[in-house]
Amino acid sequence: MSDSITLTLERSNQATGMPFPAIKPHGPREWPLFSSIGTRRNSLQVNRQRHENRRVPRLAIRLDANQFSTPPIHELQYGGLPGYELSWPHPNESWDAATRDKTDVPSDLQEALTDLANVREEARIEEFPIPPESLVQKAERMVRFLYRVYPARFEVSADPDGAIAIDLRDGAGGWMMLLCEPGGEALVLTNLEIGERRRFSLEDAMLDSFLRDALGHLKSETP
Amino acid sequence: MIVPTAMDGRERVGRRVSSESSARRAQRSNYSYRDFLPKSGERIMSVDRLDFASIPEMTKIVRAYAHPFHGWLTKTVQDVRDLNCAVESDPDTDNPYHALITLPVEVAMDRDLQKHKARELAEVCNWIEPIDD
Repeated sequence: MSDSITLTLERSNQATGMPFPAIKPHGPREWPLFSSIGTRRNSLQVNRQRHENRRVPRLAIRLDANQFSTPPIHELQYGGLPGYELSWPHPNESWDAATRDKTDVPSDLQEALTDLANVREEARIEEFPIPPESLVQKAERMVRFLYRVYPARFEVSADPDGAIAIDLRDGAGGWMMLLCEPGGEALVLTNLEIGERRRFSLEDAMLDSFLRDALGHLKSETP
Repeated sequence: MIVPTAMDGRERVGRRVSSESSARRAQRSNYSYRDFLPKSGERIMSVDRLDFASIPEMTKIVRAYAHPFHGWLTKTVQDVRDLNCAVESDPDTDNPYHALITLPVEVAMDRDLQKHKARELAEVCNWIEPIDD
C-alpha cells in the first residue's frame, strides 16, 4: 500500500529552465519509505509505502539549495493525503519541508515553546544575564526548525552566560545541545561521532551541515 | 562511620542542585548541564559522598550551610572518571563527606569545552531529593 503526496513548488524567474532539484528523504532510515520519486516541471510526486505496523507521521524532504537561485521558492503547496498537513518555513530559513499527522498533537513542541517563553524569567531568577527578546525570537525559529526535523521532547533553558540552551537527546545515549548566544553565534555540542562541537552564525544555523548531520545521527540512534 | 579517603569506583557522589528550575527538570529525569558547570576558568566542583550517611543525615549537613538546596544529581565515581575527571575526597569540619570533582586543565581553559564536559556529566545521573527529619 502506498501513499501519494504531491508537492508543488513555484520557483523564481531566475530558476526557470533549470533542472528540477534533487530531493532526498531526510535521514537514512527514511529511504525505505519512498518507493518512487517522480518529477515534472514544477512539481514533485512522492509515493510512500505505508507500513501497517509502523506509524509514519512525518515526511521530510531536503531540497538541493544549489539548484535554486535566491530566493528559490516563493511558495510550497501541498495537496494529497487527508489527515496530513504540510509545514514550510520561510524560504531563507530552511530547505526542509515536512508533513505531519494532524492528529499528532505536538505537545512536545508546545512544552519547549513554553520553556522558551519563560527563559528570560528563568534567567532573572537564576541571576544570569537576561537574553534579549531578539535572541528569544531567533531561538524560537530554531526550536520550530529542530522540531520539524526531530520531533521529540527537548529542553529549553537559560544559560549562565546569557545564551539559550536547546537540549536534545535520543534515548539511546546520543545528545546534541544547541546554544543560541547573545552575540549572534550558535554553538552546537554533541557526543556523536560527527564531532564534539561546532560554532557558526545563528543566522546560518539552519543551513549548517554539522547541525543537520547531528540531527541525522540523533534520528538514526532513536531506538 | 569512618569515611575512607580513597574513593571506590562504585561509590556515589552527589552534585547539589540549588536551582529550582533544574530540580523540576531533574524530577522529569532531564538533568541540566548547568549543575555541572563551574565558573569560567574554574575546574573544581563540590560534591557529597552519599554512601556513608543516610539521606536525612546528609540533608541536615548540607542544609546547615547550602541555601537553597533542592537535591542531588548523583553519579558513580567511575562514571566521573570515565569522563577524564578526577574525584578526590575533601572532608571539612562542616561536611566530612565532602569531595571534589576536578575537570581536565584544557577543559577549564575553554568555556565551550567546560559546557561540553558539563553536558557529558549531566547525561547519566540519578536524582535524590533531600529528606528532612
